[in-house]
Amino acid sequence: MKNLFKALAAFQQEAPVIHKGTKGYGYSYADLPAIFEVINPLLKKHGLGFTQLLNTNEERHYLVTVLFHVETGEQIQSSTLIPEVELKGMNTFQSFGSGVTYFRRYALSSALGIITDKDTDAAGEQVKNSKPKITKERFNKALEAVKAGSYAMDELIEKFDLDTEQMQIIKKA
Amino acid sequence: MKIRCSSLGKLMTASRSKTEQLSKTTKSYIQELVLEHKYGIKKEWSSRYTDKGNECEEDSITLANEVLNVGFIYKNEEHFQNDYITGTPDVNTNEVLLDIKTSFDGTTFPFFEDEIPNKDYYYQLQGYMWLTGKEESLLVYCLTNTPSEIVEDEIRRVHWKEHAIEESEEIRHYVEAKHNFDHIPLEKRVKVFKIQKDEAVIEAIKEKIELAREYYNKLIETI
Repeated sequence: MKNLFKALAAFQQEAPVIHKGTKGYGYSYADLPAIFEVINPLLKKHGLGFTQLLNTNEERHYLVTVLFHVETGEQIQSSTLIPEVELKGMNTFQSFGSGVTYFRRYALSSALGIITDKDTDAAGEQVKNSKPKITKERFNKALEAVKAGSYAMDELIEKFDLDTEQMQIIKKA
Repeated sequence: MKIRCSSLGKLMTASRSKTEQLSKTTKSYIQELVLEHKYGIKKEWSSRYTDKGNECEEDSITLANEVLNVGFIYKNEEHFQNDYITGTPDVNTNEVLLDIKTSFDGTTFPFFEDEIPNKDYYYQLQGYMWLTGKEESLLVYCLTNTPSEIVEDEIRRVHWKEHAIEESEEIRHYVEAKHNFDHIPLEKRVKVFKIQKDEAVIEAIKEKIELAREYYNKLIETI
């Protein structure tokens, strides 16, 4: 397996994150043609190839993804069960076809160790400001409450994410 | 054993049988408390409705503050309790006590109701008035836009329900439209129900809690 792993590692060093920018379920993902477009020249460069076979066992359908090293024939493979799902507006064969396409994308990406979708976890990188902003109208009401003595200026500063203009008004007050 | 204001509705549910002093709902609630207090078994529950309520609390207070003529209102963080009940009202300023309910979507917002749609909230606010000494309170329903992460969850849920693997633009547009209310004037997106403190109701709550305590003590000794 030495040759296969060496070639795969070299491939991964060059393979970029593949985003097509397709909007789907709140993330962008690359479809199969977009993945092929990027990986085919790189696979060739590193002497790698793959094939994806459909197997049936006890009336269950499996997608077998084989990744091989061209020169030595070394290979790794994965087998994925394709669940039978009836999709709305599609007949059985069309539903099955959709499932195959769907799993081909993920099985191939996994076998090659490449990233082809950007899930919503990426949104977690954005650090949310825990303090709420305060609208102009509400800010004015807060100042009135401060003047009336029913709310403390310190609390206003501490609990809200005030903008520059609001901070200047407070300084002048 | 003290009762949270948000659970007073369960406590005050009337029994269907005249011979039973506590209803099935009340007993189930007390059983949950017994398990929680004795063995630490706690029924955690959250839903997309509560998620939106939590995430939009500040947006809803802001919306209510812009629409209602109640001075400056802000989130209350003080926890109150007396010998019977505990609770943390959403807003409790010198002038006003209110509890905010953020509607999940337009279908759950009480556009036309003249009376409180959910009696549980009536008891919840009676509890808060009892705790804070206020004579009047406001139950405020707010219709705020649903945060994008919850909308995305909804889009996924609807795709799943429809057995759709590839994204459907139709579903996306449908769900996004269902959770955006920018086209509705702000003042129509806030609905207020005024509730007066009722000493008779508070007495009834006390009596019910006494009965619930008897049931609680009996259960906690036997389990």
